[in-house]
Amino acid sequence: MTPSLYKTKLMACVGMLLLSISCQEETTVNPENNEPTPYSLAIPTGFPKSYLSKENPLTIEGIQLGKMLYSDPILSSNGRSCSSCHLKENSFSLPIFNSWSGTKISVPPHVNLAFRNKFNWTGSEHNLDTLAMGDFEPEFFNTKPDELYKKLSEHSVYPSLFKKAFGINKIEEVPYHQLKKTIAMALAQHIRTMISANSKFDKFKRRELSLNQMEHEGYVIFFSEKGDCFHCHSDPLFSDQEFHNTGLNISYNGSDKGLFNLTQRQEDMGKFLSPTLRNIEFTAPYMHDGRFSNLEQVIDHYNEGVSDDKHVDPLLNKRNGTRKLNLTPIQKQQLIAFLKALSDWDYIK
Amino acid sequence: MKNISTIAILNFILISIGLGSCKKELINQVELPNTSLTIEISHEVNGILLEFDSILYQNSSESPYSVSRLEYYISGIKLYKEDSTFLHSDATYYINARNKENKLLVQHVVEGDYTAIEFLIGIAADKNISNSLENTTENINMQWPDVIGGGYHFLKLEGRYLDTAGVNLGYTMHVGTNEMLIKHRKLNINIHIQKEKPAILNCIMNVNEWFQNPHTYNFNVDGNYTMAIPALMQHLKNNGYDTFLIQN
Repeated sequence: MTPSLYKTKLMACVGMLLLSISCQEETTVNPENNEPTPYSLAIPTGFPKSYLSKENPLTIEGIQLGKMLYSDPILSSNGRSCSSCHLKENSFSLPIFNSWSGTKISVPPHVNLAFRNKFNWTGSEHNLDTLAMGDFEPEFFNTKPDELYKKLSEHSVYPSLFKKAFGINKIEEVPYHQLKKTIAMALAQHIRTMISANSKFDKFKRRELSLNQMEHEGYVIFFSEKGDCFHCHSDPLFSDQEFHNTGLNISYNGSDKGLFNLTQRQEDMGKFLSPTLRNIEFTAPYMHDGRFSNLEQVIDHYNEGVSDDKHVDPLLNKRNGTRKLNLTPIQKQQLIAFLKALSDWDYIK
Repeated sequence: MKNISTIAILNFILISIGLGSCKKELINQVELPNTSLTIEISHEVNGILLEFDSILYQNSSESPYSVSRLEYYISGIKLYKEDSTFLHSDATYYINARNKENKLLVQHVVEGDYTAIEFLIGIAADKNISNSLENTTENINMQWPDVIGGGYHFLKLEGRYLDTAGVNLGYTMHVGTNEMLIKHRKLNINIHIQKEKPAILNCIMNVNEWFQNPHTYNFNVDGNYTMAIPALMQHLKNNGYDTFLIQN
């Protein structure tokens, strides 16, 4: 090689090197191939940022593991799985769960939980990553630890998925509490991907189709003072994610005390977390205890059945000085037609 | 030799392209002053720190009342110098009085002495359009639905009061729509902004001012629900003109 040619090549190399480092921070190289594959959650237009977990970032492998575990009775010793109480046809809810304490609970749906930071009717849980840890208890899965270790470690797929998703080489060597936590984290990853945003109303907003007249009239009632639904069920989540006393009772016993049972503060008496109205058509019966079997009864309650109790949320007071909406029978039907336009049929396929 | 010259020119072009691709960011970093003002907002009722959910307070019409919700937007902040020139921030800030802290960071404030501040309670018309702000899980409840005009609630003040018979009732004082934008009166301040020395301004809302000056708001007479009732929202707009004061 002649000196001039050597110099020429050297300069070319220097030039390319300078070019390559001029915006170096944008280049990401992962030399290790053992890390799980990061997954980016697609957020529907208009939705807020999701609550993602630094401790439990979404990965393709973690989501896959969570999805398999969600409907697998392998986690329980009584044949139950998550999907036993979160039925797809009910938008991953359960009409009524009869607790051992005798309380009837309408199990909230798994819909758009990536955008929540309070869970259950009273917001008793704040962390989706650990939410499922309580499900191993006798009342739900009644999990026998030895059985769980054996079934998981002998499974044809789970050991490799635990390894890929969470770096666990031998399931049987993980302490039980940590195993439950890892399973809960995998389930949380899967649940964060359960996003519903393809209802008729979503398509209407995207200008893909029109609402029919009944639905449109109901839409106007819902989002105006006439029905005044939007303050607690704001678009796009159709829940304000806050606690309200909606005037179901004049006195309070047991679970009807709602948030009060957690805080012991009088101002929290009878308050429950606003449920999403997305897929409400699929989640009957309604209210925390399933006291209303259909949407007609729910509308009747807000129209003329709100109690006079002093704990009722200020938002239930209307401009006429009463707690009544004064909707006509046809307006009630229009409102229900709109509520049904919030059904995402693709979500329950 | 020609070969070397060609490569050298090519190198120059490549390096220029490479460095030039980051030039805009470098220029921006140089141009914007590294100065800021933090406005710390607190909420009081006649000098006493606001306590939620307790019927402790009395407004000008002598209705005992409590506050269960106080959320609003601040925007259009203008910082005036003594010579009446001003710095205008186009940021919009969501305030929830239940938050432990409400700090508004006004960035890139030019150095100097500032003698007054002005701002809007609400959002100016050019931004008071549905979905113009980034939706967050905190602010999505501030939307003012399209079917009643669109945009955002400027103010949500809710709570309970005792009526003339002592009955515990709820009130919802909501303000929205462009006509009801609240331009707060100019407040005197004494702030010296220095490079790389963040300054702090303490700003206090007296919640009682929403119910007085100029209109003495009486739940029992005016009503306990203002949503989309222009006459009642106008009372709140007028009263909102001087709800804040500066704590030096």
